Amino acid sequence: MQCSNCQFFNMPGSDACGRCGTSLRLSDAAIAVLPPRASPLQKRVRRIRSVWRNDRPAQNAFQRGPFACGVRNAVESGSHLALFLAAVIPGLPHLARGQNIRAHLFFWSFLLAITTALAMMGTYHSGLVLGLAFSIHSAAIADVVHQRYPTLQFRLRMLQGALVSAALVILIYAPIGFVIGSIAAPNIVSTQILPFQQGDVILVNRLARPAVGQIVLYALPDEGDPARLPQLREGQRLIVYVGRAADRILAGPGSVVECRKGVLYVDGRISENLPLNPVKLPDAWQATLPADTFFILPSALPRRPEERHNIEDSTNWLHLACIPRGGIVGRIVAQTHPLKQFHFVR
Amino acid sequence: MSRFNRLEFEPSRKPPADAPSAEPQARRITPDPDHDEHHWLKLAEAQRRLGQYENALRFYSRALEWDKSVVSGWVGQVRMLIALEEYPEAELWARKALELFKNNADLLAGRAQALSRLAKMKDALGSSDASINQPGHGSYPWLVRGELMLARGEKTADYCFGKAMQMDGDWLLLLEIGQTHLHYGHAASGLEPTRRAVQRAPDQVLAWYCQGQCEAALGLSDAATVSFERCLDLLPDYADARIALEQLSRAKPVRGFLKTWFGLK
Repeated sequence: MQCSNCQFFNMPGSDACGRCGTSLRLSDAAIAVLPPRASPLQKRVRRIRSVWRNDRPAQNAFQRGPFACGVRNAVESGSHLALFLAAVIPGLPHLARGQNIRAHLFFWSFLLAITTALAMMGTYHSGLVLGLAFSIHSAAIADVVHQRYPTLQFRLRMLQGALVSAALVILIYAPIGFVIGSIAAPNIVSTQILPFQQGDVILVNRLARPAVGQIVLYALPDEGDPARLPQLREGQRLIVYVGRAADRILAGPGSVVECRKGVLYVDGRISENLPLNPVKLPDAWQATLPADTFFILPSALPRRPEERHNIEDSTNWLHLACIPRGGIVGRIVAQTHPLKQFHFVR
Repeated sequence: MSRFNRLEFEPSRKPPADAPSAEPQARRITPDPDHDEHHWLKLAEAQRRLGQYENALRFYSRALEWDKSVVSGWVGQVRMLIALEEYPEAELWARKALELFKNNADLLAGRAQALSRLAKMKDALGSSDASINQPGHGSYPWLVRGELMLARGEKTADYCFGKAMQMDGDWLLLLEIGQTHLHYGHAASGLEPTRRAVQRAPDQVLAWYCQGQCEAALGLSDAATVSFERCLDLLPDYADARIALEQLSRAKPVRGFLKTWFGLK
């Protein structure tokens, strides 16, 4: 009798194979030949569980998709540029490789840190949290590099980590920082500029073209030579405004600005825009704005309480209100700090 | 309980006809007298080569109903269960078959493959070692060994696949290597053996279908469409290719990106 398992020829009448022990009477035995089957629900539950437990690298639709395959192939190809491009989003290469827990840890911790840093932009703590986000990002890339080259020496691995961090700064963080610094540069309000309080953080778009109606951050015009300032009599005082202020542009270059009975007229029509704070305008005056000059009433400048609503008391106010184009820093986009007072400035 | 082994009963005392069977799962289907187990095995193999794993599993079972000593039937069942992604069942079935066919290399390899898909790598490696150590084994243990190495991220996977190819020049083996790569997310690596399988057997529907799968996974939609259309040229009723083509045609760029990004089906 030949064994069906190992093909060994056994003695006639044997019950089991003398070499492998396989039963030689299987054909007569009552054995179930229909295998157990899994229901579709069981299969689905198993698939979800295996994704969570990281049993199999490519289980869900994302990981089977072309995008994840592309990332995975980029990582596996070993090209440094491809590796770097794949690691722009922390955790993405891990997700593509099926390392779900690492992917989630890297991605969500980075997202939390970078969101917090952006929310606190301009404050002291923002730098710390941004540094944390950068560290998580670097660690995510270094982890992928380490997995790609597991046998690399410690020194080379450290060097590679440093290179990755440097490339990250030069190619990602610096350009993004430059763009953010141009379109939403954080500025801390150093002195009270109503309605902004001291310590508030405002975002300023430096690339925006100044236009009538916008609230802008601008540099107060220089008072010029101090010797030419008027001589003060006894009891008089001279207030010199320096630094930056924020207010609304009321009229553009070439406009005729006049005031009749406390009402501001621009080009013969009542101005649709008002300064940030209510002010009492001097009566019966008219001025034509020169080219590249904007009319901004300095209503937010700090004054004594009794003269807060009376701009006439401020010396040389017209000089303060005519701001050249170059003096306008940028449009104020939003107030970000304190966070509970976050709002877009319109 | 060995002391009861020698107990003797009266030969005339038989269990009543309506008594429950000792093997409730054993289906007592009268085998088709016109066809023997070889016929069913041949049918199962044909269905397997078409990628119809459910049918193939059914035919392997029919073959075993004829003759339970056919090892290839048990191995085929285990492999079909793995192909149908029923890994715990495959592992259980392989264990059961190993009780009947001790140390069978293919059954050990099948169990190793099921265990590796269940991420039980230690047990899988043990089973794979045992399967390779059996004398006179075929290409399947090396294929499984390659899969284990692939799952562990080791470069020796290619060596194992190479050994398997040395033993078996069948185009189906190349496809299985490609499918293994695809299973572990290495679509680019899987495309190469799949293309070779297509070159070797250009009249086989499954080869074109697997090539289309690899190409679709790589985002090569046009090439995948051509492959699936070729499937339908060869076998117009091939439902899997038709479904894959519909999915490809429905996948608009933005929608497809969102679907893949958010993991929606």
